[in-house]
Amino acid sequence: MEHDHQSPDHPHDASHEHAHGPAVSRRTLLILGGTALAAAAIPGALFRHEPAGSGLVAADFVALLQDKEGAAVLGRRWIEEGGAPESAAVHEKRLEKLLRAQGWIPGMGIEDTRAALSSAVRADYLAARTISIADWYLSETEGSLCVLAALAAKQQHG
Amino acid sequence: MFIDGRQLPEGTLIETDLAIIGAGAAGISIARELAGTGISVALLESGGLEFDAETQDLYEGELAGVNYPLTSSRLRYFGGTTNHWGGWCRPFEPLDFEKRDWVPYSGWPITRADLDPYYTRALDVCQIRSSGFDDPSEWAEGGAPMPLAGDEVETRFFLYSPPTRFGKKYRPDIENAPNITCYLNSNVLEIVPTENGAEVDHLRMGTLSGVRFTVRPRVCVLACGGIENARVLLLSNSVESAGLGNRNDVVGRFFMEHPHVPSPATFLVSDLNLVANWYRNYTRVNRDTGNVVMRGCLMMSEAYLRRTKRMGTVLTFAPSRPILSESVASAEEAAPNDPGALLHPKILQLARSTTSTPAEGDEVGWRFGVGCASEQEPNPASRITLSDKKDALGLPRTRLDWRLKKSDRDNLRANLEAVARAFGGWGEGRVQVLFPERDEWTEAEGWGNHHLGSTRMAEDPRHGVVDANCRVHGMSNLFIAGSSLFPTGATVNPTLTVVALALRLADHLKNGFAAGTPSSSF
Repeated sequence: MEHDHQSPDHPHDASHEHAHGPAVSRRTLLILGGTALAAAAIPGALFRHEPAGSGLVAADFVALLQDKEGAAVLGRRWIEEGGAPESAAVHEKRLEKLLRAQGWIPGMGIEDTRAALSSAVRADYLAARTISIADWYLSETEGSLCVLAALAAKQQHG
Repeated sequence: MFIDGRQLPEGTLIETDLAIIGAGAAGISIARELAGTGISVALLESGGLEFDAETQDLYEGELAGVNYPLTSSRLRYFGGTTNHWGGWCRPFEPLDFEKRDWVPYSGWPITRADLDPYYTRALDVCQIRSSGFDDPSEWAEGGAPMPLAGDEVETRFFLYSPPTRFGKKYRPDIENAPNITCYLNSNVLEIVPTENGAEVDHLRMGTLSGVRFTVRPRVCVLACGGIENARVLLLSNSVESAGLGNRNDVVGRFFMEHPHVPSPATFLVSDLNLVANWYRNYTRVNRDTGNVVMRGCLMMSEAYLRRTKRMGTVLTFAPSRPILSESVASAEEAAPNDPGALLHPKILQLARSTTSTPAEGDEVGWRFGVGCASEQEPNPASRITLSDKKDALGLPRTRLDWRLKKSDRDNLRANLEAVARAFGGWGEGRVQVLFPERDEWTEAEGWGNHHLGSTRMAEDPRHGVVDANCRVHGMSNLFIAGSSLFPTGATVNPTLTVVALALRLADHLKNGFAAGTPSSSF
C-alpha cells in the first residue's frame, strides 16, 4: 500500500543529509514501498553520528515516534507497573538487537529503518515477545521505544 | 391435535407408539419428522401454548457452585426455550467431535461427517437459507476478513435463524398431523420402567390442577432440555433407585455452559474500513434462496487448538467509536466514563509509528468492544442432582452445581493473548486483554442459556448415559434428545446441533418403526 501525503506537524528539513546515503528528496521520503510510512520530524541526522559498530542513542529511536508524549506516558506506565528496566542503555541495546535481526544496520536511511522497525514489531508479536502496559499487549520493541520516550521526557522536563 | 391434560378424565390411559416428553426444539423437530406416518405420537408438554408463571416455577431449584439463573435461562411452554432464542446458528467443528487428549472426557461416538446431512436439514428447520459458515467469499460484498497475522485466529461466520419460534412456526404442523396428539399442561411425574428396569413401561403423568393419567408408549424420547432431562431421569427412581440410566452414576454429571464474558478485551484498529461491516453488525444479504442474516466473528484455528492443546473461544465485535488525536479531543472528552480511554489515542499513535501509517486526519483509529464465549472442559463434579425441596407436583426440584475450573479460565485468557498477537502481527490493531488471571473461577460473568452435557453420549456406559443412537444405556426403548447429549460443549451455540441430532434420531426411530423392528432392536 502506498501513500503520498505530508504530515503538517512534522515538516521534513531537506537541508540535512543522511551521512551514509544520498540526499533524500521530500517525495522520496514520503513514498515508501511496503509499509508506506510517511516521514515524521526525523532530523536527517538520525543515526548519522555513529561510526560502524557503536551503539545508538535513545533520541534516535524516540525520533521515530509520531506521538512522543503519548509514548512517554505508556513508558512511564510500564515502569510504574514494574515491567520495564529503567536503563536507557538496556533499551537501546535491545532495540538495536531487534532491528539488526531484521537486517537493519546503523547508517541505513530512514525508510529502511522504519521498515526494519515495522518488521521487528511484527516479528515480536508472532514470536510472542510481548509486554503488557495497562493490559495492552504491545511488542517488546514498542515497549522499549516507550521507555526511551519516557526517559527522554523526564530528562527534558526534569 | 392439541388436548389440554387438565381436561382429561382422571386415570386416563393413553397408548401410543412414540411418546416425546417436551415440545421444544428437539421434541417438535422429531414430531414433525414423524407427521403423516403411521406412527402414533404423543407429544407431552408441561406448559400450555403461552407462558404461565405457575408452570415456569417448576423450573425453580437450588444452586450450589457457580451462580446460575435456573428459571430465566429456559422456558416451559409449547416451543420451549426457543421462545426466547436469539437465533445464533453455527455447526460444531469437526475437532469438537474428536477425542482430544488434552480435554479429559472428550470424544463423541459420532463424527461431524455423521451429522453433516442433518445439519443441512436443520438449517431448513431453523429457516436459514445458506450454509456459508466458513467461506469469506460467500460474503465478499460486505467486506473481507481482517488479514490477521499467523495461523492462530480465523474469521468465521454465524448465520441467524429469524429466530424460529418453534411453538408458533410449527404449531400448525403438529395440530394438523393426524397421527400426532400434543398433550398440553401435562407433566411427566416419572418414567416407570419394567421390573427389571430395562424398558419403559409407562409414564406417570400429572397436571398442576391435580389430574393424574398414564401414557404407555412403545418407545419414549426424553426431550425436556439440558437440565430437565437429567432431572427426569433422576426422579424416575421407583424401580432403579439411582434413577434411570444411572447405574454408573453419570446422569446429571458433566453439566457445561458456555461462559460468556462481557468485555474480555478491547480492540483498537487504525481504520474502520479494515473491519468489514459484517463483523460489527448483523448483516442482511439477499440470496436467490431468500434473505440471509449473517455476522462475522473470530475463532481459534484448529491448528492452534491442536498445537497449544486448548479449547475454543468465539469473539464478536461490540459497539465501536472513533478515537481522535489528542490535539482534537482529549480522551476524557471523547469517553468521559471510560478512564482507560486515556490511553487509546496513545496506543494507536504508537501502532501508527511502528506497523501502520500516520493518520491522515483527526481520526487515529477506532475502538471496538468485544464479547466472547468459550468452551469449558467436561467436569464430572459439575452436576445436576435432586434437591430436598419439592415443587408444586411434589417432585424434588433440581439442584445445580455448576463448576468452572481455573484451567477453563487460563484457556480463555491464553486465547485472548493469541488474538492480541494476531492483531499486533497484522500491524493495524492492538488488543487489551481485560479478562483477569485468577486462581479459580467461581463466578460467571455471563452465560449463553446453553445447558449441555448432563446425559452425555458415549459408547461405554461407564462414561455416558446414551449410546451413539441416543438410546439410554441399559434400556431398550428410552432415547434422549437435546443438548444434554453433548459429551463436549464446543464453542458455539447449541441449537442447530440440537436440531440436527433430533432429526438424526427421528430418522433412526422412523426406520425402526418402518421395519417393524421390536423397539428393543431400534
